[in-house]
Amino acid sequence: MKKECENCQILRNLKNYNKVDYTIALVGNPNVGKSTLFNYYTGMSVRVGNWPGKTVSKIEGFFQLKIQDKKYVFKIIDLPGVYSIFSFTPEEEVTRNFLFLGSYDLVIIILDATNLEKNMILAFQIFEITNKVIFALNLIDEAKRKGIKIDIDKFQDRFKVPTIPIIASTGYNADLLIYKSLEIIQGKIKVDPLKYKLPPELENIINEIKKEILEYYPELENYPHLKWITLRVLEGDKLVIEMLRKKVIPINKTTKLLTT
Amino acid sequence: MHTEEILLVTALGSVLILFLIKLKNVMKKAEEKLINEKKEDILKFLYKQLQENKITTFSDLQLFSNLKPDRLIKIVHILLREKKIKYDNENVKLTSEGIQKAEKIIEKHRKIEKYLFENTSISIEEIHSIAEKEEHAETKIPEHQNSYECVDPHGDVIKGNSIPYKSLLSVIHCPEKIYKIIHIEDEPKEIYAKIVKMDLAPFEYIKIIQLKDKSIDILTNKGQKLEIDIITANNIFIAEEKDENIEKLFEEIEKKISQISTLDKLKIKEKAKIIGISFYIRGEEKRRLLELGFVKNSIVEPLYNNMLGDDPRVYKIKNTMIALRKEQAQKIYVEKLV
Amino acid sequence: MQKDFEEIIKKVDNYRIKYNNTFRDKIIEDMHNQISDILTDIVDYQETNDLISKLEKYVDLFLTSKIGGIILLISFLSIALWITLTGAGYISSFLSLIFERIEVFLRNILAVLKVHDLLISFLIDGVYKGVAIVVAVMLPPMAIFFPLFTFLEDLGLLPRIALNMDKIFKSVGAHGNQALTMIVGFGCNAAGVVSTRIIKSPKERLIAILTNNFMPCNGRWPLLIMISILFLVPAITNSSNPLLGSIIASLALVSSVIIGLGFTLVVSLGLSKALKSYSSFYILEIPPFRKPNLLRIIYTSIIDRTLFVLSRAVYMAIPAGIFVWIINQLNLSQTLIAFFDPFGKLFGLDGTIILAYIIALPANEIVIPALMMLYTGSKNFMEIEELQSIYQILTVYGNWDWKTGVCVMLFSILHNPCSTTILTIYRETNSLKWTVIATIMPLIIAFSTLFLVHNLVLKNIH
Repeated sequence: MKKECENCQILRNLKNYNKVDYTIALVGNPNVGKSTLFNYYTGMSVRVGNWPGKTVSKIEGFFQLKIQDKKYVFKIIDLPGVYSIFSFTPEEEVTRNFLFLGSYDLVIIILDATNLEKNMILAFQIFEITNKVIFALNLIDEAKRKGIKIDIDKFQDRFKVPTIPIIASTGYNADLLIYKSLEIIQGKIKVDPLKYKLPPELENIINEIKKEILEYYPELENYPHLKWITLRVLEGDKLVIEMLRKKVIPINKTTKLLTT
Repeated sequence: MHTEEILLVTALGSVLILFLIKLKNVMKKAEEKLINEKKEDILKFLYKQLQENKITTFSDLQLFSNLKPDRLIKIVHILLREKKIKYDNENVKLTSEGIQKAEKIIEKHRKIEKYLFENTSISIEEIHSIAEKEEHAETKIPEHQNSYECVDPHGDVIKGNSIPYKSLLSVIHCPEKIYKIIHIEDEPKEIYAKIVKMDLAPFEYIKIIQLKDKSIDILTNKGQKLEIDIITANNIFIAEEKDENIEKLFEEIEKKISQISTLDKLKIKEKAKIIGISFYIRGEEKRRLLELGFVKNSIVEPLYNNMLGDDPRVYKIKNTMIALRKEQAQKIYVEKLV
Repeated sequence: MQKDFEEIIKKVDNYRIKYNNTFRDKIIEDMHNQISDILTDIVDYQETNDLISKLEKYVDLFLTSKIGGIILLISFLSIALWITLTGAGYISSFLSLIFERIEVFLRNILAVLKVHDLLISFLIDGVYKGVAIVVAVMLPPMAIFFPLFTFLEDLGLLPRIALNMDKIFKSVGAHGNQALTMIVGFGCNAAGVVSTRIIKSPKERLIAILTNNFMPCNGRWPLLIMISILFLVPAITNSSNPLLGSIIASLALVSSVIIGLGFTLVVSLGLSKALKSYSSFYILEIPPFRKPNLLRIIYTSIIDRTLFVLSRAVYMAIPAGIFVWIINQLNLSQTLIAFFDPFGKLFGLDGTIILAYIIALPANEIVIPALMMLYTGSKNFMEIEELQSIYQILTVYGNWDWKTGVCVMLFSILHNPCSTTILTIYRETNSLKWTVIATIMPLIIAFSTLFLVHNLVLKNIH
């Protein structure tokens, strides 16, 4: 019943490895096999704590992977399962704040292949905050059994995000997922996900408000997620509005991918 | 007398005096609180009169506030001293400062209502009376919200004034016309409860079908045909809306009106397309339903009941099984697929 | 010149008002529709001849039918009760045996190290024994219950039970999932409180947390069974027919569960009226049946839950052990019993019973050993196997009759949660207020019920 990552070495403590090379976050709806995948990579060695000020548990673990004689230490964070990141429940707030303000190198979005439609809502929202994404299409065995056929090439093509079909419970393709992730992190594959298309009337409003925000806060000129910020303002997101008012949007964080 | 007795008496005496002082403070505070509440109520009343272009005399105030004359005079004096109101030919009028203050109170009231609507399970009819109490207190409720809100659950704009509206009763002779509901009066409670039960809500559209002597027949944008009596109609406020999309929507709805139903009325395995969900599904519940796919154009299908009957019932939507209770399903409008 | 931020906000507000403040809803709706469009030629749903898929539908239909629902509920309930009453007992006695060995071992080491006798007694009789007894009685039910619960949760059976039970709980303003947390409460109330996490709606979750205590847990069953057999059976029948006896005893047990259930429902109803300032919603996702992942189950149930709760239990057991030790060293027990006696008498109890319950705050399991210890004046908790000797002690030293038995049974069902549960409630609600209410409310309910029953009913029966 060994279901742990065979090629990766689980790190029980980090003292001997004084640096984490890459940080990866796992995001997905509840019950899509997020924790299963997480356990596959980290085994039983997990660090459980609480997110600051929240009763939501923060789960993180470490593992090491050897690729062509080079060893990489990964830190992996299991974010709470959410349906969207409009920041209402504590779980949503934790996930949203981490994706928006935290530092990470890649987000693995875990999708339930038996239920793609429902899962994509979250994916669409994540695309608005970050480009550093990869899809893990979990439960493909179950989908197949249920007669759900997914054209993965087309799917990849349409959403412009690398997609790896996996089976988290057996570890099928889980290593491939990390190899592919590494390629994205190192810039060998460029990812530019398909963005949600606003209805035309909303688009006009967004553009207008965007212009106004730029006049107030010109440093946002080249900020890739200005549209998301504007949308959040229109929806009345207190955190984003306060950050704009104080001009403390973390502009450089998202450009880290391009520079490293 | 013994020293001990003297000491005891002094101690008891001082405790008594301290108690009396404390009691006086408590009573003074209660009095202050009451005066403050009445002050704010009077400002709100004056503001309402101003909006309706009515003049207010001192006796109007007395009638409204239901206070003893000496106390009312005291409050009016305080307001005069604070320059919130002024006398103008026997009439009491708000100064610009007074207007500002009144607007602030109303804004707070609406914010509290919105908060209670989105974040608690207090029934919608009770929200107004709770907000009426809370608006005077040093409440922190609005600060707890995650988002800036701008409209309250009755359709009123929280900060500033709504667009002009008129009562549904004032529609005299123009059937077949489409209106948008702008505001719903929350008092008296019984009539408000009736409107809520009919699921008429702000931002919904209605089409007048027929004007009768004692009632009005309307069609809602969710495909419901309703008969509204005149007393109820007087509490629903509307504005004209000329929008091609809305007209088209009503045309479509009229075409398929026989297929329109609510989710709870569907039979097992009867597929349907969602038209929309009620305004009165609120807060967390609404967000969850939307996220799970209970949005316009989604296909939904009742799969099976539970052991004890059809409440709750399991529905299939977006290839997921979701159980909903009857009251929830009643507020989800669907169009049966044929 | 810089733009004024408030002006932007004002403009935004105007747009929001124009669009009825529903940008968020509109966007979600639009996203759903766009995704549907994109996925139409990517995902293809075909009819399969797969046996399991077909079977799933029938299983679902069966489980939600009257017969199937009842079978599902009863089998889950009986497994839960079997584990509580029998299964856990084996491991418990095994653990006690090990702890006894360790005790001897520790005593020897301390003796070799020439530690002072009083300190040895403090460490072994006070700290160690308190911890050992709590771990031995609490670990087994949790170690079986949590994995079982997670297993059934993963399998997808639990949401179906919750669905079937929802109508009952809806009528008192609670959530169907509360049925599951109550069943877990049979095993351990602290575990039951942790399991309320499956209720997502804040109001209903709080209700489930505050009422879980009314389900008699593993620690209370032995007492209830003992009293039923020793006092209620002889009070009702003179016949020595063992079959009749066990039927009456079982009926007494069932009625105590029904009393607990009744209080749960009534208190839930009251709480649902009082907790209006919490948001409430019912959306229950019914997951497809899935093969459970054993590694994950063991991981989450052992590490995440069992050790979590157990560490708290140990944490609370140490001061209690020390408390008992001090009482015994200073010979305080008789004074305390005399002190509590008049109070206890008001409710048909006595001072010893009250003190036993205070001592047994860390775990309900030690109520009987504590009673034996206090009645006989022994220095240690007494684990007596023989029912007849227990009966002797209770009737001779304690003057018990069947009325005392009824009062103790009622008190056992209704009294405050054990300290581990209290600590767990604090962890789960993160609020001192609710923790205090969860502790005080059952006590008030217990004493007022007992007062009424004792003075109005029992006193008039001869």
